[in-house]
Amino acid sequence: MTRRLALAWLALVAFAALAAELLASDRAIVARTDAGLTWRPAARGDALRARLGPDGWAVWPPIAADPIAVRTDGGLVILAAPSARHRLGTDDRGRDVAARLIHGARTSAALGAGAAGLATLLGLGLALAIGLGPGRLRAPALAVCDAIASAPALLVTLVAAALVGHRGLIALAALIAVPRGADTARLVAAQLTAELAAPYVVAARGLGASPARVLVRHALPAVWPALAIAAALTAATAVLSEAALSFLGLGPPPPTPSWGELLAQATQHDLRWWLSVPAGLAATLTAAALFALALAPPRASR
Amino acid sequence: MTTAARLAARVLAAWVATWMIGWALVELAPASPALTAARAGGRLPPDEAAPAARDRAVAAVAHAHRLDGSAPARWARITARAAIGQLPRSWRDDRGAGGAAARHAGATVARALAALVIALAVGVAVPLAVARRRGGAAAVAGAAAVAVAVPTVWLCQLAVAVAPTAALTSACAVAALAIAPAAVVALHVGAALAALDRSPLAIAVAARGASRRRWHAVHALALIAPRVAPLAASTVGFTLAAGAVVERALALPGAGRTLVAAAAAGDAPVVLTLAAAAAALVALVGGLAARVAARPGAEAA
Repeated sequence: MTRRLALAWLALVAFAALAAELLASDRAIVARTDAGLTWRPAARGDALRARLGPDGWAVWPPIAADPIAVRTDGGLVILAAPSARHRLGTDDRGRDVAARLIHGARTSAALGAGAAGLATLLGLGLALAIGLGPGRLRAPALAVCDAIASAPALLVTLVAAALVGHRGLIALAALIAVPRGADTARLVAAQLTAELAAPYVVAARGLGASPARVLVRHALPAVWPALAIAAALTAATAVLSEAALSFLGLGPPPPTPSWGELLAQATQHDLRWWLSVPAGLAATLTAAALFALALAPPRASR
Repeated sequence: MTTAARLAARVLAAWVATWMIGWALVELAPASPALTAARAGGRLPPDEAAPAARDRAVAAVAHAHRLDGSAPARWARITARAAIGQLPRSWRDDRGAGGAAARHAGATVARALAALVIALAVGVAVPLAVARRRGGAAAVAGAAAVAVAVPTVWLCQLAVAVAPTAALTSACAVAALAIAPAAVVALHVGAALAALDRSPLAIAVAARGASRRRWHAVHALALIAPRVAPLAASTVGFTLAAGAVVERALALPGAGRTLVAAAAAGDAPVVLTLAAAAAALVALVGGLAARVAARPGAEAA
């Protein structure tokens, strides 16, 4: 049940991330103007409405507001409470909070997936090097992985982001992925070492299986669950780190919409609930779903 | 090698390794350290000034902060000096980075240690309290998974909304820092209790007439303690890092705010001093926890 709920929420976040432009934007999805039927016309908002003409029509996203542009046509309303026009109110630049929340899902999903992917690649590579490399290097390599993994992830990311100076999503994902990759490596290396010494692997070797076949057919399938757990934990760490770093002003550069940036705005503006509650809930539910998937007991297979 | 010497070596290794890795990142940054230092100290001429004037300003800052020479030479010089306690000066105000980092650090460390004590107490007590109830372990696991997932900044906002008085702010800060570590400890203790309840030892103790409460409070707890001890280091690490968020969210003084201010300004000496001090403290607590976990009899647990 918990697993299903977690998967359903993550699917919702993934859908919001992938379809953010169709869910929250001031560009129509499809419009019929004098020039004919146009998919995603370039003209936005009121400019398109003026062009529609008497027989024209347009299908708008459910939230017809741009998450980034600041209105300069006299319609700017900052920190407005939720209303029919802005269902989750507006932020301190008059931007629609619901639109920024949906596009923030894209930032969190990209960061989570990027960090998880990088950490998995790094962790698997290191684990293979440790597991298959010379035995005398195993202990020092694991000790280095231990030292890196035991460093507080948020502190490492914060310090590294400050020192390197890059604040793009890829740089942030890499900064989160390095310590998590070390953690993944020690987890997977331990399992890989145990699997390579298991009786069925010894038997496979005895039957003449090549080292590559033993690795691909027997050892690696046994470590996939550990890799999946580590990836889910990395993605959850990335979501929480993004919230913390954005709050501290070291997250993705403005005007990138993100949940952490909404939480930062809430602190600056007397904790307006429409800035704090939806973003906080979204981050909490996403991280909780990822933790729940990681902590759920493994399904019986075969 | 004595225990104290081992601990000292561990702390020194963490301190030096943080400086080595941190300064390597400074050298890898797109802007040179001298340019970043000039920018942090507000010593760059206006953008419309001649490039030569800009170069002269950067060279003067490089000379003043001993940032001249090649990148490897700088890296070796600064990490070697940091290893013997000669810290560089802050790029913002030219004062010693150690002094800037030490300002308000006591409050942060005190909050971190208070959060550690609360996290260990709550994390051990809650699973013990619910262990005898049907579904208690699952409820603790579910609550812990949610508690770990709440962003610290949102936790602070909720705390301020619920208890807006200034007198409660410090208590809120410690509580916000303790919740996630307490959840992690509770998850470990709950899992260990469940495993121990199924062990032959539990059956033997029950056969000798000990109540379930006594089994949990006396025997199981003694066996679980060495497993929980290593979590102390990660708890201190988390609380020091989350301290930056909590101090900013609740407007409290502390090293975390100093770190964020230095990070925003690009003041690498202060950032690295604070990071190295945090790494050394985590190494110290980790070393002490490892001693507890390795004490005679813990192996049997």
